[in-house]
Amino acid sequence: MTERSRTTVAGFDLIDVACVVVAVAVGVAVASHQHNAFRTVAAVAFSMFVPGRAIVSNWPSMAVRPQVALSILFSLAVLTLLATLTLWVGYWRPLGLLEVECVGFGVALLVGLVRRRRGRQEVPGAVAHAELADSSESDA
Amino acid sequence: MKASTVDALAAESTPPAALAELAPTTPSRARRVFYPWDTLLLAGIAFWALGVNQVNVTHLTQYGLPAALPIVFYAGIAVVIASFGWALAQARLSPIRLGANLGVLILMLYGTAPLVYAAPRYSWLYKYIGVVQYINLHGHLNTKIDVYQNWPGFFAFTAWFDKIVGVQSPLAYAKWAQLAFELLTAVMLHYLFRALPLTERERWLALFLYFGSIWIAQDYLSAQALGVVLSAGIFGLTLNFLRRDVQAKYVVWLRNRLQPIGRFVRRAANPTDEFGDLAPRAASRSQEAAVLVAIAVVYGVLVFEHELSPYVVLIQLAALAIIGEVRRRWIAILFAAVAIGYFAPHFAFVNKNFGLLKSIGNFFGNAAPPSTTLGNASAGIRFAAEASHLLSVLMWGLSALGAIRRWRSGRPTLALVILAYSPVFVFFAGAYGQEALLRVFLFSLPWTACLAASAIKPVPFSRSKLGVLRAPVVLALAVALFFPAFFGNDSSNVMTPGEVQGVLTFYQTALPGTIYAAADNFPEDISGRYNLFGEALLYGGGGVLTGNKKPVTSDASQITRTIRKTNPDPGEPAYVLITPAMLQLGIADGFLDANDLAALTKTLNNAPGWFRLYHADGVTVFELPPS
Repeated sequence: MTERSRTTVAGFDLIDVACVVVAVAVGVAVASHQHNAFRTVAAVAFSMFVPGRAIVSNWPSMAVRPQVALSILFSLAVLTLLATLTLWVGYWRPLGLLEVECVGFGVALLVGLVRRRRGRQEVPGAVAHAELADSSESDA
Repeated sequence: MKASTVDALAAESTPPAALAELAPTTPSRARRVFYPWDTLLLAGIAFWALGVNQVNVTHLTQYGLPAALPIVFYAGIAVVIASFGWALAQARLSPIRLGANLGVLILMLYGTAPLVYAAPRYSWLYKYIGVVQYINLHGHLNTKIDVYQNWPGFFAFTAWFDKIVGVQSPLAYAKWAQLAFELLTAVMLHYLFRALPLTERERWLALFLYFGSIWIAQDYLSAQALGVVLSAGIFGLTLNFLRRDVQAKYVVWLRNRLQPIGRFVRRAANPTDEFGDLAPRAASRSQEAAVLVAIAVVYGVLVFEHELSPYVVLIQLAALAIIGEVRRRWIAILFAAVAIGYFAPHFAFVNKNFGLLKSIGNFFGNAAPPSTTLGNASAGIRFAAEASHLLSVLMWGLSALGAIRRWRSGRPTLALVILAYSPVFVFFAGAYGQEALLRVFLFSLPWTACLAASAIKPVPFSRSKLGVLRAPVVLALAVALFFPAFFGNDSSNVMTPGEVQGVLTFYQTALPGTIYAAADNFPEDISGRYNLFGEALLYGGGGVLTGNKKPVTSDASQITRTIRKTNPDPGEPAYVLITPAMLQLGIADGFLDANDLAALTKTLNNAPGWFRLYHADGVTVFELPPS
């Protein structure tokens, strides 16, 4: 494993950890009834990225690099789906839904993180791809 | 680790998508952090900011915002286009620089309005706010109210988002929606275009052309805006993971049959200096299954999120499946089943309210543009309409040229052509409130921009000193037409904060009744109580007081008699609502004179039976209690 690929994989880990922090932050900000710029920024970051990143992170072939577009796409789709479902079934509790989402996607991100760390020893696919970039550049 | 070992490992766990993304397209050399021409972008931002700071939008003329913007604003746009042209002409493209140029151009085109206007543009935007507020107020839907409550995805998401952000209403951020949705679309199109057989230069040019020519303003806070993002994502997933190497047998057969004709016009393919990374594909069955599930989920959301988008996506995907461009062609049948399955229970409502059955098959009637109703519109409105027509013709014309050029060069063309032109099948289905043509342009534009980029054939400096001018010149032309097309109607599209607040207060406090709006241009249905109010028009098309020659504004008895007669619920009050934006629309469209609404106000002030319910910030509401 080269230094570059270590850095790349560490970058993915950092994104996942940052997403967990955002999920916790928005959950706390909402639960403590804050109304400030911090809540706004955390809420926007959560809605646009975190759920999608949790999915991408657990999708091994996607997790080899930060797939911003897919994270955004899945975030919008999943949050729209969940919000609409609660509306249809007559259980409209947006803040309660958010708490569930924060916990669910936070756990999913941690699972993805752990899986990727284990995968470095067992299934070196992600590392291999990170190294591919290195080898291509050094060959050139 | 050697590349061959990496390849073997890659095949097990990762699609070539990731490989293509990771492998650099150009040899790596030490790059300078800052080049002298980077100052162009900074200068452009400075000019633009200065222009935004200087603009006065208090009294817009009939030509809208473009006439009010100072020259330094346009200088900023021109400098950024020059900066883009320079970045695109480099031998080695810098995605960071091109991305920065694109972001700045999007900010300039779609961030200017929220900076210079205090309230969101477009009267029809406020209807969406009303539905969101209805959900927040009641916590459930009522599918009998309107079509929006039958396609609730966007509204449910926005209502949820409001609670999470902690705002009372989408009004708090609605004016920024255009910028936000365009940025989201940019990310999605960047992902999508990587799956298309274009050079890197063409991909970037296509992105710039898209954002420099999407004049139809689908990007306000609406279900359509989210639908565009989801649709682009669906195509991104499909074309990145489910593309086939080989086209359908009959397409190959047809191509072989047409070869003799092709030989007359086709020339040998010119070697291109850079082929972009092409079509990553799913590597294993489980990988492919995951992709299919992801596409199906996103499409499923699109089906209940927007009334039109899923059907256009279905048409385009089905066309791709028919020519064998995608694997798992049954996905088109699955999508059709999902879309029709959702639509079937709502058909009666849609048909009753929009006359769907009457418009099916009326291809040319459905294709009629909204400008056919311009009538006595002002010169400014006509100019904006002409600019939008020219811009559409420019893009479609360039796309046709690009298609021919690609075909003659032996480059993959059929799929792009089908994606660009298949949305016209929407014309067979309905007029979509006379907006079918706009939606066709919208859904064809990503692909049209790709073909247009192929027509322009962007080249580096090393290839042609003059040739590098083609891309920025065409982009400048598109942006020049974009301004009147996108901002040209702002004299009537802009609402003042007082107007918005006044109408909101009325909706929140008035007794249920019927609103007689002086013109169809006010923050309509802005409140969660919107379902308690019927609506009718006094003037303009379908107005009850339009009159044969002149609008009826001074005859109190005729006004009262007409309103009592047409009030659908005589047991409830009737309201006459007058706002500044109504007068602006009436003047722009030529059905009101500058003094008409002042005359109406004077008449109702003195008319027996009427009393003034609200009067502030130019908003006046008169109430006629039930008799």
